[in-house]
Amino acid sequence: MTHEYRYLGPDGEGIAGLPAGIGAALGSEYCVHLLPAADRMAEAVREATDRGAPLLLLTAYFRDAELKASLPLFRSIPPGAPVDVAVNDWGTLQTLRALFPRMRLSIGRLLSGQKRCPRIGASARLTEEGRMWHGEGIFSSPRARTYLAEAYGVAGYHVDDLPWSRPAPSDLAREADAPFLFVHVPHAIVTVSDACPWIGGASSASVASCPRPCRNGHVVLREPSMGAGLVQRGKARFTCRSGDRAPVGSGGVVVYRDLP
Amino acid sequence: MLILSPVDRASEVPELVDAGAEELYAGYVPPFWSDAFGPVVSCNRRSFDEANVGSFDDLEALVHAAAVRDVPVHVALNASPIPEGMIPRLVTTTAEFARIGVRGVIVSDLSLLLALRDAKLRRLALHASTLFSAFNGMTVAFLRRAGAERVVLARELTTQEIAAMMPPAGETRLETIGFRGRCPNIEGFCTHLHDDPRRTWPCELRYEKEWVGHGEAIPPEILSAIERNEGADRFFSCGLCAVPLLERAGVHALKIVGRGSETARKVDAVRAVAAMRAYGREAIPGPEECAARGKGLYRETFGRPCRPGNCYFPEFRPGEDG
Repeated sequence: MTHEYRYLGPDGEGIAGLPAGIGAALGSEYCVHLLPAADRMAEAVREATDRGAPLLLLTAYFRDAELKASLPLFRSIPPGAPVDVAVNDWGTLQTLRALFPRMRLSIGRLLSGQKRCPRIGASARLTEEGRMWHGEGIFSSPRARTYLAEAYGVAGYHVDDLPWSRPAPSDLAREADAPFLFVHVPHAIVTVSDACPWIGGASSASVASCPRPCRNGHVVLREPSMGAGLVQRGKARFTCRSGDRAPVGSGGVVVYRDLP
Repeated sequence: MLILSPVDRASEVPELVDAGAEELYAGYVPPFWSDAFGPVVSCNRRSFDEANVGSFDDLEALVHAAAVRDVPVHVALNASPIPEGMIPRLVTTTAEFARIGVRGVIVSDLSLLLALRDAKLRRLALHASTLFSAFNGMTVAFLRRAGAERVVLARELTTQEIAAMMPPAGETRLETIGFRGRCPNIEGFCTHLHDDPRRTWPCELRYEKEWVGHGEAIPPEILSAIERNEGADRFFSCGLCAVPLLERAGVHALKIVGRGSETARKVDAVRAVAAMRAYGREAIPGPEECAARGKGLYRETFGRPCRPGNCYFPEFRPGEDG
């Protein structure tokens, strides 16, 4: 069965308007300034719980001070609440497992190991095996999955449904003991910088708080050798896939109406 | 703090060691790997021949040349992901590395790290690559639990952030990257394909740009920040100003980037870092003195002033005029 989550922006606005049975995703995989405040997170959990909708909190990478400052956000999730937390930082995984052992943790796209550069589809220098290698990831490894499940309680993996995935996350022929996958569509994260052009190219860690100017627009980037365009928003560059493959066999699908 | 230099062949060892290198690291692609994945997908993220030791015999000669100078050699196996079928073969290869005297392997794949931890290879240290994106002390703890004895920190940290990570790291040795090869993106989160034989990477290309959002054009400060990385030459990357502070903080080693570059470039890099470290030891300078001395040394090394886009450590970042 596939659970659908709709990404509702950093703060998860609009949970009340979701159709029945649809979950909500909020937060950010690439910037701490796009995470909800603790009180907003608590409210989102209440709203989702009232509607019986699952919730998915996407989290970013953290410096020490940022990780410490984010603890109220994680504390705002009641133990046992139907909230999945996607981690994109190994230290966050270590911390959350120690402090909140009942929290439902999954490995985010930045840690998945998949390669999403559009050039992979266009490169004449890659062999077919070489091309398919780029779709593999930590989720492909039984050894890593077992370790992460046993030591950290990891219950799922966030991936993109790429043309070079094998087997594609949406493929029903995947092995029987396949992990629970959250497939994100249609924007795949190609790269993340620590420096944000929306604050003049400074590190996001150099500002205590950010008014989120990146929510006002994005930049489309085109270069012939890349094979397809990129889109930059904040510190991340994305590539967009047309929705030609329904992620049927996956555990969850995270749908974005707009760039995250 | 040790100076960790790239090396590509045995003949480079004497010059690098004479210049001040105290540890060396190299790349080697076993034939079974290139047979499986072709020329672009390398098990150490360097697809061009110059960045890899030509054969296992060449690697053994390199390790021997370093050993007679009492300098350890580490080997990069830092591709990720490593397909499951390749893990036992790479563990066997790593055991061969240990047999010929390689002292460490640099790994970025969790499965390979766990497999090597469980293999318990004697006298061979496991280094967690910067691709694990260690931005915080808890990531160091995670990697230590998975078997890493040494962790290469994320390149984006400041000297203060690095210094604060030292005490909790305990016996886990921390390494920073601080000269040449600075990426505009966080390396562990970047999935760009580096397949161009002329070594022009997607992060350096000049893109045609179109704004979608409030207003009609890209706001100038955003455009300027994006364009700063376009056409940047990472050869000129530098973190010299930070060297004395990193050593004082207790960083175990400072890595110079540049597998596959000419020997003279590697030697120049080692000399520059060694000179800055010597200055730090002699003068015990504060940050401002470090900045002045580092920028002077940069000019001597590169024959031009440093630029913001080439600076590893934001607290020392120069103005556009250097």
